[in-house]
Amino acid sequence: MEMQMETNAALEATVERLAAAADLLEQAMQRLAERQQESEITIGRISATVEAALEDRLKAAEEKMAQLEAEATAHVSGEPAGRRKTLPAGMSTMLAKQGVAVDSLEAGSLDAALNGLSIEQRFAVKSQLLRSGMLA
Amino acid sequence: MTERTAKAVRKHRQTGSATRSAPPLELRAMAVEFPLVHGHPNRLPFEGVLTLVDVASDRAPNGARGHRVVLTRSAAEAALPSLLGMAVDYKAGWDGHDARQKCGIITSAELDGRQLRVGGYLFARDFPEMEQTIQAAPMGMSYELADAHVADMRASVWTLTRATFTGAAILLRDKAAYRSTSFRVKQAAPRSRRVPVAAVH
Repeated sequence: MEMQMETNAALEATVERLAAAADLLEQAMQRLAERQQESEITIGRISATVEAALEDRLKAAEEKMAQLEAEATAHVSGEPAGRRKTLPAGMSTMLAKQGVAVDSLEAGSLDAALNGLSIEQRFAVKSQLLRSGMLA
Repeated sequence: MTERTAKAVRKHRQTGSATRSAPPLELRAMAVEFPLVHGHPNRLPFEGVLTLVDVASDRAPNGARGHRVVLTRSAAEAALPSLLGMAVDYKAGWDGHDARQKCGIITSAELDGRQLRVGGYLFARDFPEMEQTIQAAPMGMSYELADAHVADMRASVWTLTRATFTGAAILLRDKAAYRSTSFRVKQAAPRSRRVPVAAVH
């Protein structure tokens, strides 16, 4: 009889300890849930349409990159894009009269060919050829 | 006009019939029941898939700062009541929301698997040009959320754990952040069955 009472008392103590542990666990869970809620960030407004502004910015950036790449490639090849290699008609006529072919200009032969011109005319012809990129 | 608006909340739990081992299919639905008015000229019933739950959006939604988002099932379930009575709108060009161009109302919402389905009415007489456009191109839907809680802002895909629906839009399907959304007009009731809703004395 005495032994049974002791067993009951031990059981009661165990149940009390378990109940206390369960309470603690519940409180811990509640605190964790509160912390989780606190750590969440609230966004004011979201609409499930494609973010147009972002896509537009990406498209503009891609276009700019392509343009820069094209410019860099043209620069590396040594041929400036869009540079004209033409002479005014009067200048071409003057060179033709001196027997100079515009397509095959060389610095040495040019000086010889322009011997018949005045110094001012030679300066004018050479500066024009330099501007047009036909003479380096 | 009757003032009575009945709100019915139904929860169905159907066990899978094909295989016994399959998990039970759960359907949660909610609806505002409107009095039936046959042949109402300004009520064109519609149905659509508003979004998917527990699935990442195909593209970043507006307002999500370039992140794709996942609306969790529990968040969608909790937010179902906020969807009822909200308006559907459309924007010129059918590529987004125009909250001031409200062309209909949502009267029912249900979670069917991963699909959040909605139904309601379009104001067909007020927006006569709408029906033709809707039937000419594949249309989808887009939700609008307020006070959405993001579990981890640093995650590449944002998980929305709580939110409130404030409206929806009809738009071209390829403009929706979820490409699996859909929208269609249902067959309207025949006008010959029109009945009066109130007696005039």
